[in-house]
Amino acid sequence: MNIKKLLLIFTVLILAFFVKNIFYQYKNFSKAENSYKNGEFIQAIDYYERVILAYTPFSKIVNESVKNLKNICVNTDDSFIKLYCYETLKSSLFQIRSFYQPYRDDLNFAINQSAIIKAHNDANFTKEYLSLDKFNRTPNTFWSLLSILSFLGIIIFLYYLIQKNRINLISLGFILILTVIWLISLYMA
Amino acid sequence: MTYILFIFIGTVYIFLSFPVYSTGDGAEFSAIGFTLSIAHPSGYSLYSLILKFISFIPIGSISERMVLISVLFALLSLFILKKTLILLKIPRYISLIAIFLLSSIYSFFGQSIVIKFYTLNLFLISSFIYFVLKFFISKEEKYFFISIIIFGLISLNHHTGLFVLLSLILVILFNKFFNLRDYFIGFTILIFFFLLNFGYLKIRSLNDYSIKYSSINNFSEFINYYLRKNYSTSSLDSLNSAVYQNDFHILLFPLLNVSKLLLLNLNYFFILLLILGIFLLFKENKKLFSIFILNFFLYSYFLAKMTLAGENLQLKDWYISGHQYYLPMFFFSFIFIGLAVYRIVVYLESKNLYIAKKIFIFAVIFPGILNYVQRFQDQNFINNYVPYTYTKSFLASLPKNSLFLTQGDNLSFGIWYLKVLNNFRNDVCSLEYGIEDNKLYTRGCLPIDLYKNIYREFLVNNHLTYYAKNNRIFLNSGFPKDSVFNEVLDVKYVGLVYMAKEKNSLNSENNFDISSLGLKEQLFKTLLQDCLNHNSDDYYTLTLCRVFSNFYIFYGKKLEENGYIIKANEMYDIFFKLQQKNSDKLNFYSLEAEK
Repeated sequence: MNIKKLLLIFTVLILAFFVKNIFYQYKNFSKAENSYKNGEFIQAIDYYERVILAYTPFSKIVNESVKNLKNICVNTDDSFIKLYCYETLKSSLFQIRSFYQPYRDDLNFAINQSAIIKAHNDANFTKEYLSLDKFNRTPNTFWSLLSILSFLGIIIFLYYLIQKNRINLISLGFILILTVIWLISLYMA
Repeated sequence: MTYILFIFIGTVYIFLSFPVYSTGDGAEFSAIGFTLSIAHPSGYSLYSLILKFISFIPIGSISERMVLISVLFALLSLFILKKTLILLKIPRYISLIAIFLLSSIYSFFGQSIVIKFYTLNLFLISSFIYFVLKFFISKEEKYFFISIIIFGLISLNHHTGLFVLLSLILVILFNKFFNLRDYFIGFTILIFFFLLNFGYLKIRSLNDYSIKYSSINNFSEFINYYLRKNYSTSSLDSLNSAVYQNDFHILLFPLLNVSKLLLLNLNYFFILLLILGIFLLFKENKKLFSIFILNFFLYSYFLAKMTLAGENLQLKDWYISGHQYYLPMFFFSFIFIGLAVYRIVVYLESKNLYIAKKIFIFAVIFPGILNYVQRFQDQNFINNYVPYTYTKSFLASLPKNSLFLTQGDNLSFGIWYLKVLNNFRNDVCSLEYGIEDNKLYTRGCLPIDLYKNIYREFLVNNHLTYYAKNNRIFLNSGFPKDSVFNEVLDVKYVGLVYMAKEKNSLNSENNFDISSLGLKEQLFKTLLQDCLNHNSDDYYTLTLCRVFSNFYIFYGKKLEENGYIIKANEMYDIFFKLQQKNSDKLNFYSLEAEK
């Protein structure tokens, strides 16, 4: 199998993953709409969440689901459902982050609203909850990517040295540099 | 043809994988991988780095992306199977049949579609063996070094991979490769990888607030962690004393159990081909035979002495040990089977029995097709939201600012992913209860600085029972009988969760708020649908749904006590439906467990 065929397999697999998520979007969106029409708001929230979890960039269904979910959160009078709704909106948006965070404005809105509900409008406690939700556990994108690439570099360079039988002080020095970059990027990430 | 087959297998795997995270360690690896942190022993540095890489794909949720790694390495392992068979001069079409068959068996298929490192482990082991064979055949020292690099990577993953070193030693003896300079370089590379592993765990321990199973502060902690010394009851380590015992029963049961495992995943026909393949290789090339049989022995009988040595194994043992650790055994089995199939085909061709040859090849492929049909029944996770909804239902049902004490990986790891990483109900402070040491681990309540104003009495003054007075301590299971917490707390089931109260204060509460159960019933409707509609026989999914079903029997009883007979009967019906749908007996390995 040559590189072209490997790339073809990889592309088809990513496409299959994409299609699977589109399938989830359509399936769960219709379930969410039905639940909403039947007045089953908790189920509607859960199914809209599943549409969001099947995020694909530029998807209209995901856009619609975020909008509908936000509407349920804003319009419901039931405090239990309201909290559940904002928490679901917030965590589902957190779950689709990658090297960027989609729907950042909606996420900030959900964070603020859920903090207010949990704190019963007490400003001090609202601050506590906001700091919990805004506490960032995501490693730095640049440094984590560098840590992966430098590790890969170590392996590939070692392989290259052995293939070409070029083990000498200069090449060992290069491996040392890559290792130091790897350790620094792990620390910085 | 080759790439069409790979596309087919990969697409099936992707479509049948979990929509969010898989049961077991799936949620843990999602959280650890995304944050580049430290998983349970032995740490899984390499796997964490690879998971982080895949997390950059902007499709699906964080955890859904992680399964792509299992699929990818399953395909790469199948590719190595093909390359190994071709190295043994077996034609390509036979190697494709072997790939198709291996991809279809229960355990290989199952491990390829969950968030676990076993397909990565298999890829590294199989690649190592492939290059060891190249070294054996060509005697070129570069293959010796490539094997060493792969072994270094194995050491960064799972310790069951370490057995393969013996095959390199065997080939060194066969090739009379006694070069001190190369040994020194090889040894240096191994030490280098070992230090890389320590470096990863040490550096990622420095962040006090990250989600991690444990911190590694010095080299001795690293060694203990790497060798899994913290586990006294791990499936792999608890039985390892059996390796050194030679009592007849200890020798016999691993053999019986590993035979059952092979028989369940293959069938009598393939077992016969396996035996024939072993015999043929022995006849044709004693040295090659020694290399393969050594690995087959290490990943079958020897591993079974450590993990499947018991006389009466439970379903859990079959599902955790049998289903996970033995992928290399199946890999080596299909090398022998591929060889046997080829020799039979050659024999039939030499006798001009072309129709018989076609029938034979069809007979070999057909079980694979049947396996795939069966996998759509037992390993179809496409609708399996249970592990995710289960965790979400627990958290959502808790009152604001509750302390939640969890036992068991499925829920605790789910909380790492959903609450700690993705901030669902961050007001809850979840604590993992260590059954063995009676300790409460605050992994789900970090950073302490941010929680200490909300949970001051507990986090600052260490006064846990304060929260019991205010009905703010909940558990997913009662405390074990010998727990120290039984001295200060009583617990009662309140629908899915248990509530802890101060000792002897429960009797004073006669009234039960039935409306709270009605609200929970509404909340749990999605989980109910998930438990009734998933299409898998996953042991943990079945267990979670059975635990959940108790809610309906409890709610039914309360309704009955209050005179709502019709509604109570509805709840009992749901309970029985859930029990029926989620019986242990549905699992692939249940027949063996029953015997």
